[in-house]
Amino acid sequence: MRVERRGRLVAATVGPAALFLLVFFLVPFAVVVVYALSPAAPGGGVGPGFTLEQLGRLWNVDYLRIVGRSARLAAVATLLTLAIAYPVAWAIARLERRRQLLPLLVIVVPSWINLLIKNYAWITILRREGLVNTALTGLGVTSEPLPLLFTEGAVVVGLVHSYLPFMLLPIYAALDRIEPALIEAARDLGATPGRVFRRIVWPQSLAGVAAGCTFVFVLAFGSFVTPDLLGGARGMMIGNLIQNQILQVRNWPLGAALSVALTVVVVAAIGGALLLANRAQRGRTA
Amino acid sequence: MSGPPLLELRDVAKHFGTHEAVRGVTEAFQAGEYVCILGASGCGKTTLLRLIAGFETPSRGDIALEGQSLIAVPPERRNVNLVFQDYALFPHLTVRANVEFGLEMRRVAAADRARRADAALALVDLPATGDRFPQQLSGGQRQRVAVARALVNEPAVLLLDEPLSALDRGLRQQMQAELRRIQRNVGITFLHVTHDQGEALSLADRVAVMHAGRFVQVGTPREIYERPRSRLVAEFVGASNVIPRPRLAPWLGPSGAGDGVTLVRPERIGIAAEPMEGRAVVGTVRRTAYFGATVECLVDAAGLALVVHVPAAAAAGLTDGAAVWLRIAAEDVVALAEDVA
Repeated sequence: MRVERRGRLVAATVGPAALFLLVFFLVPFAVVVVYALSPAAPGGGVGPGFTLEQLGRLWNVDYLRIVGRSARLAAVATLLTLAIAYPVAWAIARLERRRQLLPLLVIVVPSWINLLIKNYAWITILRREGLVNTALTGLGVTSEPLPLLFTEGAVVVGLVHSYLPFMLLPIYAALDRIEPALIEAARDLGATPGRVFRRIVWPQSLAGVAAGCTFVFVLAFGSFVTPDLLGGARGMMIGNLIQNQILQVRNWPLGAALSVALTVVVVAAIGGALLLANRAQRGRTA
Repeated sequence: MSGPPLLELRDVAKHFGTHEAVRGVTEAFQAGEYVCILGASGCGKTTLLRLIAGFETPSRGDIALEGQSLIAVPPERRNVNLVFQDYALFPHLTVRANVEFGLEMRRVAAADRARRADAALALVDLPATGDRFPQQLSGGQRQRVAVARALVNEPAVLLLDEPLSALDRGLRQQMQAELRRIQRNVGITFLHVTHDQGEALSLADRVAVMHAGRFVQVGTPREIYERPRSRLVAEFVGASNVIPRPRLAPWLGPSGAGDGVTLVRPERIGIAAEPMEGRAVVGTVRRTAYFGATVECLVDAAGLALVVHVPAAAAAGLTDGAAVWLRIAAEDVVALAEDVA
């Protein structure tokens, strides 16, 4: 009786989410996997039959280079975001509670701006006649405008700007839970501010760091608008490659195979982050 | 008092904006003393402790430990340790790592650390809990870990901020005895902040009663209880009858009366259901309350409402509405000064 009721409760709470994931994630993903294993039909779509040809084509040097670049740019963007977000999150968490809302809004509200608009803004800042180059040449720092746009650096800047809140909020949440008395206790026991950070604050914020890094890495790794607008040919990432295969080359199975590869890397990243967060949490909940 | 003081407060004051939390405290503490700072919440006692620990900077005055001013010394370099009200144990570290933390910060070798942590955990009667995490311990055990974590550093002064307030009554009394035993054992000066007068009286060598940012009286528990200087101290410490002196004329006679306000402790008033010899005044019991060892009677007599405590064994006949005879001796009347606040 009790077990039955419990079962019904679980079905009622988890059921809708599970159904949603089944219909809108697992089924489409299964379709993608089937496409990846099918021969290409000319002009788009897939033909009948089964082949490992497309999966085999993933081991192409050009593709691997793009996957490698995607991972590298996503990793750099993740680390930069972490480096920027952590001190800000710390500063906000240390404010009186009623003073925390405004800085949090200042960080969150701009993330509601459309991604395209944010990226176009960076184009006007970074292009040849843009804000940065005008300032640099005007001040005589450089004689020629620097090639800033359509570089990997421009992509990273765009990614960091877009995904900062996804890093900041989970870290803020973790830091906000650390009791101020713990920091005072560490000082009282002889820890310098640097050691307070290393031994008390950082370990207790790892779950938030893991969550933030997962969000940013996953979003950055699969991004295609930002590398498309800010990276040009040199900043091409796996998302652009997939788009290119599906829409331009019209090799749907190859696009599908690339999508499967993307998903595998992302799932691996999430798994790694969960493992890290679990290890960080083990002491606290054991 | 013998020898130079270990810890000295000289006119220490702390303002937060316009709020004066501590308003000029001057006092010296000797090595090996157990001192309780007793006061109601908001009287500035926690701020005073935080000033000594180094978490606040005084707006005025000086704090000196072993003759050296602490004002410019950051908390991590002061030879004092604080036991926090909610213990502030590090949740991500084991009990052992918590206790060893201070030694590790001072770069004590690992083997030495382990030995001293074992000794500290044994001192607080908590052996074999080292591998557990704070969340796995009971409230009383956490309290012991907090004390061990502070004491392991062998500070000159141990500061305790309401260390027992989070414990239930039985455990609190047990831990009071433990704290006293530990303090005797290590001989370190304890400065213990509390709002519980029973705790202060039973634990301390000296009690400092704090009110509105000042020490209003400092003395042995007996002095504080039996010879409170002001009405404020009298009413804060123990139950009390505060009576204008002229109203005591029925007991003391016209010669014993005079000006000012006096204190008569409830257990110092003689009470009987039958007429007594000497100057006894007749009254009526309005209400009685039974506390096990004692009975508290509220008695109307000579126009006063007096609180009288009687040992339960001697309370026969003291029922509501009964006529009783009350006696107050001149030596049990304590003159109280006007409060300066």
